[in-house]
Amino acid sequence: MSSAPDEVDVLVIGGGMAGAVAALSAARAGASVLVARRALGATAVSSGAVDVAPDPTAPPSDLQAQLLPPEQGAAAVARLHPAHPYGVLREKLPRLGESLRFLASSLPDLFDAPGERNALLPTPMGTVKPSAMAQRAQRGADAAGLPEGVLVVEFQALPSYDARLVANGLEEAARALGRKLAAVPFTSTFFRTVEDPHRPVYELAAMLDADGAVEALASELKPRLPKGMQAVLFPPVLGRARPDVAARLSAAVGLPCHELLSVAPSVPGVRLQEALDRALRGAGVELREGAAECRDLPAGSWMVGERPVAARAAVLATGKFLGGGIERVGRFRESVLGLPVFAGTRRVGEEYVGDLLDERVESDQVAFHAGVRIDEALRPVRADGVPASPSLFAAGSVIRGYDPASDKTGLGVAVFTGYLAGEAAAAAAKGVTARGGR
Amino acid sequence: MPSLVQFDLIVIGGGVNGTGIARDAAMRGLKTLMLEKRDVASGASGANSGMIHGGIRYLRYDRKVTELACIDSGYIQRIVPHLLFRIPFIYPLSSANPEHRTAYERYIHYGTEVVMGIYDLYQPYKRGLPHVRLSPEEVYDLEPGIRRNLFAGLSMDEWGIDPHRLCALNAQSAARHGATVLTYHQVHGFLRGSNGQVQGVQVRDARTGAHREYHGKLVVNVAGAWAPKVASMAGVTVRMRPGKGVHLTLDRRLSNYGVISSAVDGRQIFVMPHEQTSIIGTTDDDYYGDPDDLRVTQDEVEYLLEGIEHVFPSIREARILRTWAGIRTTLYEYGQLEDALSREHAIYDHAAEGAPGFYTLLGGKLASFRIQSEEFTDVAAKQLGNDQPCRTHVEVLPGGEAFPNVSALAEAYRMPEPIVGRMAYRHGANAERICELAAAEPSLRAPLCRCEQTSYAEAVYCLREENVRKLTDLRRRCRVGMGPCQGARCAAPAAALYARERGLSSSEARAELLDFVGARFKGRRPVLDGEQMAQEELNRGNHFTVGNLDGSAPRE
Repeated sequence: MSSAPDEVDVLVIGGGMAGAVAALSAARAGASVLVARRALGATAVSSGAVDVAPDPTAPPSDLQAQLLPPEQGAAAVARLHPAHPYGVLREKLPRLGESLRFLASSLPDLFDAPGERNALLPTPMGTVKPSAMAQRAQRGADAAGLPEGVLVVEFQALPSYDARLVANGLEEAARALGRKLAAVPFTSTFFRTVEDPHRPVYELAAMLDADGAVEALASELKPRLPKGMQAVLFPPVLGRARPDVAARLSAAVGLPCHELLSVAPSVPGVRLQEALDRALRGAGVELREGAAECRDLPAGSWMVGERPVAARAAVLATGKFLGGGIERVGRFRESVLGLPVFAGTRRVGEEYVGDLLDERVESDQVAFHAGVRIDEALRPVRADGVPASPSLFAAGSVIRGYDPASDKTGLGVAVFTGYLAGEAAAAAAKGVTARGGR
Repeated sequence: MPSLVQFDLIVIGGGVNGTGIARDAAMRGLKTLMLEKRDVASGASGANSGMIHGGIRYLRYDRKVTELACIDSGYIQRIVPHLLFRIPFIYPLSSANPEHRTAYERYIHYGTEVVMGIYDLYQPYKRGLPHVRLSPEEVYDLEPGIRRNLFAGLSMDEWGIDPHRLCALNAQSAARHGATVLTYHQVHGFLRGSNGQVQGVQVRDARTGAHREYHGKLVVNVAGAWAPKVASMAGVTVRMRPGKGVHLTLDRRLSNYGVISSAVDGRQIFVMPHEQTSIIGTTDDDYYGDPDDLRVTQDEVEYLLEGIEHVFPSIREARILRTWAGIRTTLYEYGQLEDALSREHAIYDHAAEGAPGFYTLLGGKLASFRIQSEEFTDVAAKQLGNDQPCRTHVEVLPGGEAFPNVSALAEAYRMPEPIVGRMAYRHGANAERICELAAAEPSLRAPLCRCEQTSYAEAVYCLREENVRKLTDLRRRCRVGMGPCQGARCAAPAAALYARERGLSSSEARAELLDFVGARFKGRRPVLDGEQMAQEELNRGNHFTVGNLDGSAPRE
């Protein structure tokens, strides 16, 4: 390579929630940061809300128990599951709230400071799920906080979101919480045209971003509002680029308007990812599309796309199978550095995948625990337990020890580990000890 | 609770033989009840290679089986033409040194061609084309992925079918001719007369737990792998040699031709295009376990992949969606290898064993189901003094009246042509009724399952017309959730639609959805790898991280 390498303090590999928070956290600590990203990962297809932890000791059907402060849930997870990232980092767990507030202040368009307790947010499957920090458009839909009369809207143009199922599920959840709530399904023909009877979610969200669209939707809805309605729930399409669609819609309808959590494909997930990207640019972080390849780990010599990069420290935030950080083609493999992969308590390689999967789909699945093992300073370790490098850190779901589908700690771990890893990487780059480090 | 109705014939089992007998008996005017403990085609009838083939393999042992299968294949084509599709096969002949073949390789070549020549005599029965001798270059032109070590190739003509729909249509036709068809009804005992005469059955409704008794003059056991269990409830013995057969499904059509290969033990296995996927099959091993606890193991998967790799080197890079197993109900024989066992069927009259009025039909093949059903119904009709002739070979199954003009339908109803095309394949002449549903309610034009091109309208039609009693039944009717995404996108909307059509509560819908997602996962578990791991993470994200199907409000 003829050109001189680009020099940075911190190279973050991966640009989802974990990587973005790591980059923001490192930048706040004064480091120069480059984010290398191959493509969008799991964050862009997430629900758009941040789950930290439910109460792991209560049965999941005990909704009342899920309304605990998320930090308390995370502490219980750490106690019960020492291999979970919360468990490995339990000394630092008191800083979890700080990491969430950091995210909220970094994305002021999307988030308020996290609440005192988990919210129970309605999903398109007629369930509710505990979430620590939701986007402003989502958090008002809390089954423990909604008023007694709720209108649940579905669009004929979006048949995959069914108001009847959601309304019924909300009432079931309210009953389980001992609350009075009547949810009324409502079918809207807004968006529907003869040519296009159905449309993908991103298209609907973009249509609502357009000038005048919110007012048009409100004027279609307002005259048809049944009596006694005090809030309105929409499918998760309330704007992609403009974060204020829910607020403007509330003003125009005259009732608070919220959206459901989203499955993939997810407008709130993309909205979150795009807000993270804006925050990165605002913090002076460079985002570069391209795969990162390590030339010399101790020397911090990397290739990002076609360009050489010299980084004083690095954060591995490449995700799991969806993000591409962990692969399994006949055997488990960490994709950037070839670090050993662990699942459960042991190292995994070529073993039969069926042995790492329980027959019941809803079980905690060991194969989905696969990831790199970290020490208490978030440094990935080699097979002998020694950190691969003093200046390499890991964040998010590339870390082993938890199946977010089962324990519901996904984005919470990403925010917490990203925050700490970014800070640690900035400190390592400067050669000084970070606050709370050793 | 005693029932007031007296049936002429009670059929236990809703596989291809059970639905076939129910249809035949009902068409002859017999008052018929069909009982199935799960959905139709839940056992081997839904877990076979999906072929209406003549069984060239059986020519070596059982010329009669081949002939019967070919003749009946022809009838099946006539009664359900929309559901069959041609699958041409290539039999590649390879050599370590194609220029200088060994005497044995020549023997295999000529021997195979002689067998195919004999098979050609039966092909006209099923509108099959005679075999063709191909040069290696011709084979490589047709299938460029084949390993380049051939000295020749042979072609052979077979037909594929959706076996789930075949059973569902037979059951539907039986019901239209007056039969009572009860799925999710499990027989747990028999009603006996003073002389041991079997006079009916005790039944549990698996969905409600309610018990009932049904009286019948004759009872036939066509429970497939469960036939010995059912027989033992009546105090009689049925012996069979259960054979486990495993298949793999790929995410796409790997080839345009079915390709035959030899496994490590010399057995013939194949990879073939089937609807939107390719299927690899199959193993054949004695099975001693519980038919309700059938699992695919790592070595079965490896055996199949190793065998196909022999002719298709790229198979290791293919994306395997899932795996499935069924039990062949072969007739009992000691001292034979699995492959050499007869595929013949047999009808047992248990009168001599002290259970008059009770029969078992065992063995046989998918491709001869109609004639097997006819043979038994002849026996039953004679016993009951009914002299009506069989008409199952002349009267078409629902939708078989005519094949619709797909382009014209698509244009008339403004539906995408691929969606109408799949609809026409599955429903034949009834595709137009589905289009009418979509015309009355335009939002039903939307795709429900994008992988399999199933519209909301088609799902609604199946829910209303095709005896869907659990959400998982829907995938056997219109393939919802069977494609590469394995239900990540369509399972939850399908559950919502099901709940809406049936008026289910949210917690009931959730239980149905979890059941559906769980059943699909069981088939993926043994083969999860590569890109499918990422797909699985997404699938788990939708249903558990977001959907919280394992948590949330208690079941009410």
